[in-house]
Amino acid sequence: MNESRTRLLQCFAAVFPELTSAQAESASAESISGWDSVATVTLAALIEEEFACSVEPEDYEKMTSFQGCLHLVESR
Amino acid sequence: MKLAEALRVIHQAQRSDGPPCQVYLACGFEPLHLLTFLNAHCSLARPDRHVTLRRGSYANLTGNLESPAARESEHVAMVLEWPDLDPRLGLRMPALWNADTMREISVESARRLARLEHALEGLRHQSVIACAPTLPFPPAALVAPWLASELELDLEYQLSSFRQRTRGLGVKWLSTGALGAVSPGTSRYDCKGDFSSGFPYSMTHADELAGLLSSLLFAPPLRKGVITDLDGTLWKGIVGEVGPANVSWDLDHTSRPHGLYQQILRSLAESGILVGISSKNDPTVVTEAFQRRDLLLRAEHVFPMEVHWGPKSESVARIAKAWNIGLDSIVFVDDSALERDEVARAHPQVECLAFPGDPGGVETLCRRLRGLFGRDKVTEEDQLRLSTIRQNQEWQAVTDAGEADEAFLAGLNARLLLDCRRHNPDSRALELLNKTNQFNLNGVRRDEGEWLRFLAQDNAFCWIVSYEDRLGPLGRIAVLAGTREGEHLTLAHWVMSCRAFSRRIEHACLSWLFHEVAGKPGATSVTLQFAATPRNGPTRDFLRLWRDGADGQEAAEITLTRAAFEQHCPPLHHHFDDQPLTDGAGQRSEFASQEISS
Repeated sequence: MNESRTRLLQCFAAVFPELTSAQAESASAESISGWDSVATVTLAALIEEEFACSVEPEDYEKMTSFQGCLHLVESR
Repeated sequence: MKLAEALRVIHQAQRSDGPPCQVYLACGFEPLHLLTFLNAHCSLARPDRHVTLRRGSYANLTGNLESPAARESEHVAMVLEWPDLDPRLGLRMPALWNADTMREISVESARRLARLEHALEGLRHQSVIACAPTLPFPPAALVAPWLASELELDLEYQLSSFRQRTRGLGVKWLSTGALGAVSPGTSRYDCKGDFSSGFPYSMTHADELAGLLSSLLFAPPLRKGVITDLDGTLWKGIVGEVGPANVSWDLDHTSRPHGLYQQILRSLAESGILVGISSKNDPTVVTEAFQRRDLLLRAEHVFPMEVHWGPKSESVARIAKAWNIGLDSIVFVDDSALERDEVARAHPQVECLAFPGDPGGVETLCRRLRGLFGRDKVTEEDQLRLSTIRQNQEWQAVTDAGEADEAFLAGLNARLLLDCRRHNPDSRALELLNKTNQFNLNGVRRDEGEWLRFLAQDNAFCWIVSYEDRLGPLGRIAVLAGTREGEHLTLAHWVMSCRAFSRRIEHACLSWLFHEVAGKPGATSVTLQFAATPRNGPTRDFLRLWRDGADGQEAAEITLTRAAFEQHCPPLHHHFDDQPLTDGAGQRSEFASQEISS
């Protein structure tokens, strides 16, 4: 597992502590009931903290799944 | 604290099975991460409670304060920002900024603050904390940013007046200086966050603000006494070598930091904090030094003085005994790392602080001492504390040989005054409840929100007992609080200051509970919700008198009947004041009586 994926899993664990790593990796806004706009903004803030990068509001629409978030952090 | 850590703290705290503690965060912006940080800090401050946070709706601060959710909470934290005074002071929404709107904003602000004040008046059963706008004043005014505009000055004046008035309602305001020390003004605002989500704070500002709000909600236990070294600490120089005339604490001798330290110690002493001395010195030389009239901390502010060549850890133990307080209530200040280490090893509960060698360090030390001993106001008891401890030394001499004899107690002319007001305007009852260890029925502590909730019960009662005798007043020394069901009382809290031991005040208090009042019978039975703690041995010993005559085990609650109480109660010689304070004007409490005999 690459380093970005591991670090992103930590971010997901903070927002969705009830998910296992496997569940988090396949998580999406549609499949997780608690994934609302507040969760997205919180995830964005955690990604900024963890990856020392800037997440813009325009990026929120890409953050609809774990894979989407992973692509986002890997593109920075 | 990072956001990820805050979320972890909350997640762990959610597993707590402690009693619920509801905090309502009232603000006009989207609270987002402030809510998370505040939840985390509060959970850390109260690990014994299951803390939950609630929030209101966006851009509706007054409505949020008036909401049922706020009124159902124990604690309310109000975070005010400029747009709460007028939405045109926010950067998120379009607004006109011209001379006309400046005047309108001033008028609208006054109207909104008046509504807020009214909403705060409705939160009588909550502990309410608040902070004034933390973000920079928006660039709305027509002047250059380095010039304070008429609008800015006007709004600051309105806010200052509002804070003063609501302080009178019991609202505790966060010090803007304290916030400035941890969160620089230039790094508080997050414009991007404000525009994208309505959350205007940077992460660091949200964290620091939440930490301070949590401290304001759940103040850590205050220390009670400070023990200070002399040479190199209270003054510059070694008094045994240079002589009393040549130690210094002034600007001329570049020793002003010692003067500043004396100044803070005197201020603490005059607010009821105990100040003692531990010094390795010749006592006669120190006595002579304390005769210098320019000392800011005078001999009368200090008790006791342990001046000898023995270990300081032994001095600290003796001073703690003289003060009759726990070692965990004591702060020890010394410039010598060796002495601090010796005391810390012997008494790990004592907080040992270095007296620094540089002026800036001393200024920081003074602030630290304020933090450890800070209090809202100085009470009558604070001012009496040192004199009663001196009195207790004489008292100890009488009681050391055993129980004081009957003739001595009868000749004390002891008087007790009861304050039966449930909604007492001062905080003495809660203060006593939260700092008393030895005579404490069960060690239960309550924060202000819990306490107000407890007193709001229809059948609750709370008495504050004051005492004086021919040796002098002790002030308000005991609190009894509980609930009443017919002629049965349940005592949930009972604390008494250790300064009041050996005078049978505890017996008199119980006797009062059973006493007949103006045609109404007193309680026929009382359940004391006793629970043993590591430090309430004196309470356990006192209740042992009645264990044989009542149900219950040594460490459990006990129910006493009037007959059982009277069977084992020793002679009482106290007189109760015949004008107890009650909630109703001129109306006496149903519990109030005039005199005790047993």
